[in-house]
Amino acid sequence: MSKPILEVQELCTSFFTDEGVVHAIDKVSFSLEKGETLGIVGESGSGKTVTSKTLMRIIPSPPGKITGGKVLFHGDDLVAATDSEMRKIRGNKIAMIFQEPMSALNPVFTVGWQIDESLRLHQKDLSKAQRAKRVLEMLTKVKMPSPEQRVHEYPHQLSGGMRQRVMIAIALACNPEILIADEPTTALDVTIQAQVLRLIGDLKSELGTAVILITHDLGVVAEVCDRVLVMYAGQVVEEALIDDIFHKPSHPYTRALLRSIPKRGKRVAGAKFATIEGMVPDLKNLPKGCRFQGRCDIERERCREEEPPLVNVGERQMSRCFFADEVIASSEVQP
Amino acid sequence: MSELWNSRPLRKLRRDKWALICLAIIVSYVLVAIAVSIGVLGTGYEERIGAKYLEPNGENWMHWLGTDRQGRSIFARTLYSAKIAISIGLVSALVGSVIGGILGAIAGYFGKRVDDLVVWLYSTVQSIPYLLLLIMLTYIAGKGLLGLYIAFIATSWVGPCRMVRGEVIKLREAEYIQSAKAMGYGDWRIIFRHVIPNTMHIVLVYFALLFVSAIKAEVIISFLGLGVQGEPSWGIMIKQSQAELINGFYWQIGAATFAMFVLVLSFNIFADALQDALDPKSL
Repeated sequence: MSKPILEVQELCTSFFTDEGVVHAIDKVSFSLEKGETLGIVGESGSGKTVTSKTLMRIIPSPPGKITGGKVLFHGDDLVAATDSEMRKIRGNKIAMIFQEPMSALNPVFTVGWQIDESLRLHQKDLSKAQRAKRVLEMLTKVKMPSPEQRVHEYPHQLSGGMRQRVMIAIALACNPEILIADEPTTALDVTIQAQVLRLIGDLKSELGTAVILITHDLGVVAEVCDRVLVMYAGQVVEEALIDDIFHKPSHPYTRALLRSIPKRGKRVAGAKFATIEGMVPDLKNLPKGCRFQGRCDIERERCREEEPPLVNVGERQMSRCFFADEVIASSEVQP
Repeated sequence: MSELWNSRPLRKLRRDKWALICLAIIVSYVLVAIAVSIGVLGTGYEERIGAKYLEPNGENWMHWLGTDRQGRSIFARTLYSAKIAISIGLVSALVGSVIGGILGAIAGYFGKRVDDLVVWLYSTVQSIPYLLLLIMLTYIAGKGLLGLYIAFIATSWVGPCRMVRGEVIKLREAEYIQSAKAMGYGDWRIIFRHVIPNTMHIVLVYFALLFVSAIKAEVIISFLGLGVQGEPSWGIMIKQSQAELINGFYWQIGAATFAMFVLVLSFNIFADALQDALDPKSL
């Protein structure tokens, strides 16, 4: 096991609003190795996007504030870095692609100009001609059809899938070590989703970039991730290797998520999709004890009294449930 | 150069016949203004060239639009006034929209105290009736062209500032601004390279509005006797013709208003076409 390039330790981010303090993420810890793809899964409001924005330090502040923890990038703490140090890392060492390709490109500049801009800022030793060559090279790399022509076009002339390719080209232009992809396929239709995922996968193995893939779609996770972090109400509730997540989940929430994936051929007439009843708790007003209480199918007295810690439950698997062993056992019996 | 000539906005503009006609008219006004400034045209606007209130006649070009009550050539005075109008319009529209646009973008982008300050500033300026403020400022700055410039700049930045600020507050949350931050671009770079270009349609519209409204406001200020001193302007010509119209001497007021009308109209049409041409979303 090589030394991780990114180590997140007990990261906390809160939003101080007029209605109270929202603890958007609470003591999130994980690490990322070179060339690895880490998936972060969870439903809306679980803190996935806040986690990624906190890593990049682009949380709107105020009201947002990082209230604790460390983000160690090659051993340097990004939380403590100055703004100008941070600007040298953003886009250069750690790049990010956003969910909405329709609005993530600046409408008044050409695609080529926008790829060129990050090079202009981060790779100052490149000449204009070298940059132009690199822009074309990036567009070719992301498999943009007729790149020589597209480079002069504006975002509105491209389809959603092509725009997402441009976003990837911008993000990878400076050869970052980490690529954070925040729901990169959510806004795309299914065939384009598959193409974009394959593209991210191919580029990852070609360039050796580590990827943090944020999604609510377990199908996407299954396709590209090596390791998964499951988040619920601002906390990591389970961390496991990809196979373990699908074959022996150790947290009732993960298990419920897996059950709610519609399965082909198994649907009985009149049967409903499995869902997780209830709502994510209000982050301003968290219950005492486990945050999944009220929605959990194995809830006990203890869950309402004590907050479960995140503990090792197997080799490279962690769970925030008192009864993780029980959950693992039950899922192993299931076909 | 040919790259610029063939760029999409200019190609679109070249197809628009009305825009080109209006541009030609604006350019000819500007040329007249330049010619007046270097003393080629409009000289002799103070000379007495004949009897007072002579009707327009073809005797020579000085007589084309007749004479005023002191027997001075109205044609020369109309031409000379174009210089005053163009310079007032240009200065107040240019300085006003640049200051307003930048202040608005900074206020909207940074928010918090910067925003409070800018909003306080323009609310204060705006809360005083426009004409009253103009009159007050021309009094303070002294009568004459400089006073007019100061008064118009002090009031004209408010409109673009308010609109740009509103737009930037919306843009600030746009994903491409977020992603520009995630790319490691600094705040000022984001403001000038990403935010302001996306507000250019507002600034351009305001440029045209301010240009036109400055020309019109000059008329009112000059009418009140606070405007340009010792030189003719369309406002001064209209002021002088107050008593003439009732006696049937229509040419002075006719010349001044027609000259102003054509310029204002062409400017409005051209600005509209320019806006369409610059919009990357329309073909």
